[in-house]
Amino acid sequence: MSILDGLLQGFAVALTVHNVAWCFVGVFLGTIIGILPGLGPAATIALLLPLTYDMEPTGGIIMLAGIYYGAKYGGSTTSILLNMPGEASSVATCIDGYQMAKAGRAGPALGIAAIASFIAGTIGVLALTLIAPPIAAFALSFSSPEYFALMCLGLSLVVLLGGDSMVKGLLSLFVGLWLAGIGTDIFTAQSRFTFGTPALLDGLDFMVIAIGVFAISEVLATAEERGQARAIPVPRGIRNLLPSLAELKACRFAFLNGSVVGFIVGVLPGAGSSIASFIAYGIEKAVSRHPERFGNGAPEGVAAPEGANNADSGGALVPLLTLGIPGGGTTAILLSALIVWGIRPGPLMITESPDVFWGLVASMYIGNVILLILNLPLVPLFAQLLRVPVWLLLPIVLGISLVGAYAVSGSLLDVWLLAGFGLLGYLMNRLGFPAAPLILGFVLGDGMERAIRQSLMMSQGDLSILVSRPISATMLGLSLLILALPLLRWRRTRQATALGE
Amino acid sequence: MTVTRTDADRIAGLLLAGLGAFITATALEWDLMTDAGPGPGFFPLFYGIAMTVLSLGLVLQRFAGPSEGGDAPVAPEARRALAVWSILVGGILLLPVLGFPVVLGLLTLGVGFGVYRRPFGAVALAAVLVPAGFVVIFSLALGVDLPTGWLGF
Amino acid sequence: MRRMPLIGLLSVSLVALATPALAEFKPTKPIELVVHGAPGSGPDTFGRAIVDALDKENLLPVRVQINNKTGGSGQTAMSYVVENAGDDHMLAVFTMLWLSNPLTVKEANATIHEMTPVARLVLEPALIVTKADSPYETLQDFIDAAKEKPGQLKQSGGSITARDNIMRQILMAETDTDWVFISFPGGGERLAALLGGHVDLLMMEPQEVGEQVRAGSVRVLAQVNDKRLPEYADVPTLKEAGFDVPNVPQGRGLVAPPTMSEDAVAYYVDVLRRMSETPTWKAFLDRNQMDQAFAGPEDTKAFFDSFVADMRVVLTAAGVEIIR
Repeated sequence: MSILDGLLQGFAVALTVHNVAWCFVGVFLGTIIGILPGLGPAATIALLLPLTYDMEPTGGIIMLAGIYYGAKYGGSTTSILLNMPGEASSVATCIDGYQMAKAGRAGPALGIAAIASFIAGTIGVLALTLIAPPIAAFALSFSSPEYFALMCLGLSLVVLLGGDSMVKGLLSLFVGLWLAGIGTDIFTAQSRFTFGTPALLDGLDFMVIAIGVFAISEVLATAEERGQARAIPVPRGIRNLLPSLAELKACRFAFLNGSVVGFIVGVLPGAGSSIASFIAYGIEKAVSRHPERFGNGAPEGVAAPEGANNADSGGALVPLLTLGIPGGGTTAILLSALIVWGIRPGPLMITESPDVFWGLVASMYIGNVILLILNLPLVPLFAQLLRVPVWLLLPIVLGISLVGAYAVSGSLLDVWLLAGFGLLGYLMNRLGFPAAPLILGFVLGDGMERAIRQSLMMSQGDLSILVSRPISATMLGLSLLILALPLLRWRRTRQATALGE
Repeated sequence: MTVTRTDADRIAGLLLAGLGAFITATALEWDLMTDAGPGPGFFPLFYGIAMTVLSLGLVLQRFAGPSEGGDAPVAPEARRALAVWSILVGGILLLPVLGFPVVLGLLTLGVGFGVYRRPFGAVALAAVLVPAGFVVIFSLALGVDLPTGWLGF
Repeated sequence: MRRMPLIGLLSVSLVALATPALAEFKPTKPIELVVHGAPGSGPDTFGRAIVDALDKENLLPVRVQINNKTGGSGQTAMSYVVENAGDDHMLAVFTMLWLSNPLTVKEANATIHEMTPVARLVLEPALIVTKADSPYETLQDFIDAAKEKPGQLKQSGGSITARDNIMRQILMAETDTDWVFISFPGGGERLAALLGGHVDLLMMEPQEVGEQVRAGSVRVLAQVNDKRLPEYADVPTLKEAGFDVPNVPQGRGLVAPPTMSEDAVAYYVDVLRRMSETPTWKAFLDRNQMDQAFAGPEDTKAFFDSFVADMRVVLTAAGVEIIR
């Protein structure tokens, strides 16, 4: 069966009234849990799973998948409005999204996030439709040395995220690496930096750190200013509710960049959507003609990571559906759902269950359209939230943060850690240590250490394994290039000034 | 006493050097290399040493000359921020006793009345409505577990 | 509201009438089922399957509520169970992690030996596979190759205390060979490493690797089970393949807090024994290719003891420090 036939058949399945309805229910639920931190798609799908046992498989998987990619849409809302990532994948969105909101451009930021999500989400599904089997084979050629190189590529971005002081950016990064190291070492069962606390054996939770360092520290910083009625200015007039043409134009490349990076990283079972969004953000800044705007409210800084984490959903379904390999927690639950219904994801799924496969793929096109229609009208509504006076907004933000941290594992330890990281984030901010490298170090640290150790185990301790494999060598070269960029730029400006004199 | 930027950099650098030294020392207690490959101490050793060196560099640099912003105080209004943080910590302390809704009410009172000095009536009203809204949205509509106190809510 | 005490009194006396004089245990409030994984994880799915079976087959007069005590590699859940000593309305799902963790982890201060064993419910077989285009047709081929190139062949797997590594240690000791074990946290990554040709061997539960077998992308060399699984009737067990080594078991079941009353234990054992025979439960086992392996409290305890004894030997041989 050709792809076109399959897709047509898929649309015939997905466009039935009840399947469209299930799609709507899924993406709607997804948007809601995406907006609220502490509610993740993995837990939501797991809790809803028993209710879907008696459903028809196609409708069921359409709904559950809707929750999965719908949550990515919603994740940006609190990132932009409150500097509070709603999902792990929308941490990178905080960096420029919240700055845009602070400049009175909350509406446009939300709008760009929705549009980027739609474009990249659709491109991700398109890629899933067209090149799923070959790209799955590519994903398999990726192993530990390549993951190490990918993480290096990610870490080299710290140069770009670093802010004014490179030394402080690097120090912040190392603290992030250290925080990622807390917990049990999988290779030797050695517990590290747990200070005798059993609850730390699984390590720290990403959301606790991200909410603490971003949202709580922002609450503290806002509280400093006396006599300020609103936390951030409320957008006025229709012009400030939607992105301008100039802003959309500036984001052209970011939409594409986010789509491609998000999809490719999504296909790799050992990476995750937060890595995808950070890398897309970094690339965007690296190639930008105005890198200085990043971190100060550049619309591309919202479009690239938001696009990446949505294209990631399409990518992550590639190994799941064509190889039966789940890349992360949420896709693992989707896998077990399919098994419950008697569908067996794997190399034979496209031929054995074409209805489910193509029905799901087609429903994702529909779901992305529904999400756009659902989310754009919400933009002005959410922007109105900023009207809440600051003395009322701060306790609300604190409350949402507490709920989010407590939901991680139902333990007060996470709530205490939240307060601790909030203070840390505030102090870092005041002392000129950028927070983004710390988060980046935490996201990449664990995978990076694992990848280098696995690589050296594969090669019996021979480091040349990192450069003798073409993909890994290319990425390592690229990260060196990124590291060298600021130097080149600096030299060029010096030459220019010298010439001027 | 105000903390200037230069002071702050020195203090932060020394603290981080301490952390780096601690990481390095701990990593050295673990296997660095084993027959099977790099051990648990391998990776921490790298960032431990790098952290120590860089932060000492920062300290030396700041003793040699002032940082950018030099004698400007780090956070002139830090008192208000720390007040909000203390309210948060107090609230967390009370969480296992009073439960989430009551604590959120107290947080609202503390921030609105204590830090922002808004009229007590309005704040008190908010202190009832905000927790109620949270319970409705998270607890009732979404079924999220909230920390409960001695009274069972 | 004022009539409540009366109804309460009435129902209490009815219960008293209905039950024999020698107060046998009957649950009087919802039972809390502790699992150490987040919703959707392995232990959680297993716990929910139990709840589902008990529910559909009406085996309990009260509800069963899942309590996800995540974190600390299972330690959070284990400590919680130990703290609730004497609670007759609490059960917990155990996996082999509950047995292996306290051996190697200093912080693991709650052990399964303090708890009350209730029942082992299932055993999970495993398959030893290699990539379909690899030169190894049998496990012996692989062992021979490992002998030729010591320390150069690779196996992907989970944590060092997981069953796949224990089995590797046993096989290596038996055949005097040596190959590398590379840990990957997720099953998907382990499988991807094999399919991509980055490692040579993988041991995995049939549920996870079955689709690859069916699609012909991996070759099954042996099965880790006492008898051949129906779906893999032409694959030899380890013993049949010429390796007379114990099959390291992977079991799951339920334990209760320390000092649960004997009556309560007997009650739950009876309920679970009946549950394990229901169609709902058997359908779950089929779907996940697990073996029915019900065992009462004494046998479950013996199962724990023998597993831990084996683990000590194997881990010591592997150079892992045993804490307790």
